[in-house]
Amino acid sequence: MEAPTTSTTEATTSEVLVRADEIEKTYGSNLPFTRSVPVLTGANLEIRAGEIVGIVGGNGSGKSTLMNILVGVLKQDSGAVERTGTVGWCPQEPLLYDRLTVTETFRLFGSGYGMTAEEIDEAKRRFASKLDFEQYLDYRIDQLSGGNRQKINLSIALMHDPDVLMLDEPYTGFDWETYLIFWDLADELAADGTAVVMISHLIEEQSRLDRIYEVRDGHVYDVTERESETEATTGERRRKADE
Amino acid sequence: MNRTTTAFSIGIKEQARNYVLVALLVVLPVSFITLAFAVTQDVEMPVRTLVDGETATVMRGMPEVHGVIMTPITSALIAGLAGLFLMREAKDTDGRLAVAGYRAWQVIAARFGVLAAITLIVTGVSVGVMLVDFQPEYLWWFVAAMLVVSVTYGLIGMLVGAVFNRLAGMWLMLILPMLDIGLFQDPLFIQSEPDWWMKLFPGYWPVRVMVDTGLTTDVDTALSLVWATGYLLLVAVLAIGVYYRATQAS
Repeated sequence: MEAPTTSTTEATTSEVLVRADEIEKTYGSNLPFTRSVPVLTGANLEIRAGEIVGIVGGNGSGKSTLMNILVGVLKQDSGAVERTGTVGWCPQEPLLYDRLTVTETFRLFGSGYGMTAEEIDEAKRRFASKLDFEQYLDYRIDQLSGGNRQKINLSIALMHDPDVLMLDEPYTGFDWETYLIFWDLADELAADGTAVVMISHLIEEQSRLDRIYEVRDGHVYDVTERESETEATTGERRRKADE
Repeated sequence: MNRTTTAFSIGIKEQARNYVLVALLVVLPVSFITLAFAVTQDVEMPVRTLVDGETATVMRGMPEVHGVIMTPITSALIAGLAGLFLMREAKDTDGRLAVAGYRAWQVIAARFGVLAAITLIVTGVSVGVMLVDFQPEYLWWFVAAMLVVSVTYGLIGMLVGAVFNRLAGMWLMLILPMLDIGLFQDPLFIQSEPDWWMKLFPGYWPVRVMVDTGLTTDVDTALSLVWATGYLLLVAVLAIGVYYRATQAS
């Protein structure tokens, strides 16, 4: 098994921003008589600037594991991850500090991103206005509803205008209006050259995605073309049926 | 403001809103220390301590001895729980700070700074409440030993938080100072020198200093304070390593 490597460089042109090569990950335990669970057994993928990429797969297939490795919060057992540019990460469970206010949360993470106080304030107002949480800026995170908490979770991932945005089911708890705003936002970001990667369960969303990766049996399959082929095949079949 | 300062100042605000911790800080010193002085029968008891470098027994009032023991128990208990809460929360969320660009040492400095600040307050309150009823012979030696045992327990709380969940961790951090300081190191219970395994507990060296500098007129335990500090440094290195592992990519 080769030693895992991870590298991060500056984004320059519209090219591959994230590349995963032969990623392997097994969840194990040092305790005797416990089971090791291999999750990824040689996953490869590429994420390009300006793409909206969906990661799909069954429950327990390893989608979140793959995303956590791509983000860098989980270390792969072997294989390499290359990242170019800055990353924004919106985890499935909002990883926020319950007793901080929304404003303090922006300050804490904005400082990490290296933003100035003015830039943090501007980002906070921009997202509060777009996602409609202006009235909650002085509320503590644990006083917010699940949907509003998720809006903050998403905004924190976006506030520094990252080159790559990694979203793990980002719309959980959103009302329909916010859901549509989210997709407008994703389209805007992709148009500006941001690579948007999201774990998705919803079939109807797949038409909005430029590329779809399916995690299955420990591998990652690019099923975008297969979907097109299936569509073409289905169209052909219908045409023949019509004749 | 740099990252460490931001994370530290926001961390302090976060802990100040931890009502369990604030309630413990208000209720425990009065209920443990003041009540210990109030309800303990005022009789002379034999107390094991060091005199001219030798283990000896001196006669002291039971309320004073009880006060000397209950003060570090209170402080260690609150600091231990603070360390536990810090680690539990950090385990869940501090990894996201790393993705946002915080260096490991910046988060570690901020979190351990918050724990140090809490421990200072806890020690100050505990000693302050004790001083209402009892004045140690050498106050600053006593305070130094109090700080060492409190910080040590705060760090042990962090270690416990890395391994156990919140409920199990709370039980452990409630029981450990009671057993260590309140039983194994209490000179009223253990009249002779404690067994070797009792000396492995974090309270052994600091409590020797507190009994000596609180109840006798000479300082015979300067070396014990050095050992206590060594123990603290060892636990600190462990806690930093465990914290690093718990919050970084695994």
